[in-house]
Amino acid sequence: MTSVHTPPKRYLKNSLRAICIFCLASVVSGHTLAQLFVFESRVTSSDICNTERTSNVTFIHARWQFGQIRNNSTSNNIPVSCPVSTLFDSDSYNIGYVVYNNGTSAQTVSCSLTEWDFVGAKAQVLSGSVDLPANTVDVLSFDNVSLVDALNLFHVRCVLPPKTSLGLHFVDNFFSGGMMM
Amino acid sequence: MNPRLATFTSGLLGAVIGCVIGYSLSTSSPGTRDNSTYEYTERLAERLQHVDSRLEEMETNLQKVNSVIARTASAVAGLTRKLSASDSRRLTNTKMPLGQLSTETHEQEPLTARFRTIISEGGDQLVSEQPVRRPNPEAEADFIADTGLPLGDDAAEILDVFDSSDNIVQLQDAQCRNRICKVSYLPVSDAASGQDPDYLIIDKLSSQLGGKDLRIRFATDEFGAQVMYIQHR
Repeated sequence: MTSVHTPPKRYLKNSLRAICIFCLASVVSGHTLAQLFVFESRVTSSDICNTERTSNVTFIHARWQFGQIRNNSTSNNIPVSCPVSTLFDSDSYNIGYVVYNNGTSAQTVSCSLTEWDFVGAKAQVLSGSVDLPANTVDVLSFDNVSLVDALNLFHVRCVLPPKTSLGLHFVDNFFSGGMMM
Repeated sequence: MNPRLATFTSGLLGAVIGCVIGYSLSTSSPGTRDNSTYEYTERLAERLQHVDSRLEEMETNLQKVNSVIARTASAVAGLTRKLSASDSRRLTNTKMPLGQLSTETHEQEPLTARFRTIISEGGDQLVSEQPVRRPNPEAEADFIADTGLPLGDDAAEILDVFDSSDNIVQLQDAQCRNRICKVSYLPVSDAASGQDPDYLIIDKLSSQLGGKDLRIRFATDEFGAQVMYIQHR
């Protein structure tokens, strides 16, 4: 004997099937999200960074090696400064650095992301930091950051405690909505 | 109705709807793309206009700097002439009559005045180390509206940082609301090792607040003091 009414579960199943077919049809017609948004990324090493107004005593402890800028000092902090390339047009950016602690004690690496305007004034500074236990690596990132003015430039300044380093540097607009084509 | 027939019918209906919507999207694709391209071109045009106006502004500033340099050069040339005349007088060891000396002194006054004019009119444009600041209406509006994440106990910590930074900045005024602090200050001229006082303060803030993420905006107030608007990020 068959039931008169279709059970609710079947409606759900059929709806899901319809959605799947719709998605398939959409993909076939070429309307994927990748065509609506352009996701871009730039990755570089941190040997483009430089030390910032340090004394010679401090400067000799800075090392550029393995794509990193490292503080080999055992006692001094070294402020370093890095350019940030935002060569692609986007409403917002994710900017990050891989940071290392090669020492035997925990350290905190702090960075300031500065937005400079066309005449050299600071538009805004975003500060962030990451705590690194001994012999660990982590990422310090500024996510979904928007420029106050599209013509402005970003710049990063970090304070490297002893035995820490900055490594891979990335800029992308993943997850934040790329430029409409 | 037979359940199998119901399943088949609804599945078929779904496929038809999917295909119809997919087809309509594919036929509307060129229009959407055209609109996007048009918007993108418009944005580019707007930015070009912006760049154009900035370039004009820079050109005006350059003209000002050029005029300052020209006046400085002429003033320096005048001074050099006077110095060489003074040297020649010293070499010939001729004593100047008192009247002539007073004339010389009188002639030097306009020169000093000219230098004063040069410095007051455009000297600040030649000092590249001076931070360029402007009023920041957006940050001020946020301060008045008290927007952002709650500062909690960190407001007191922020004020402590400024209170204990006499060697970096001279505190003029500090007000913290629930979500944003506004601090007016004058940088101390001999800030440690010539580093940017703003970054020295930011480093101290970061350290004092245990590395909490901050957003800091800058401005000048009506008295010419520098202003930081500090919020959690």
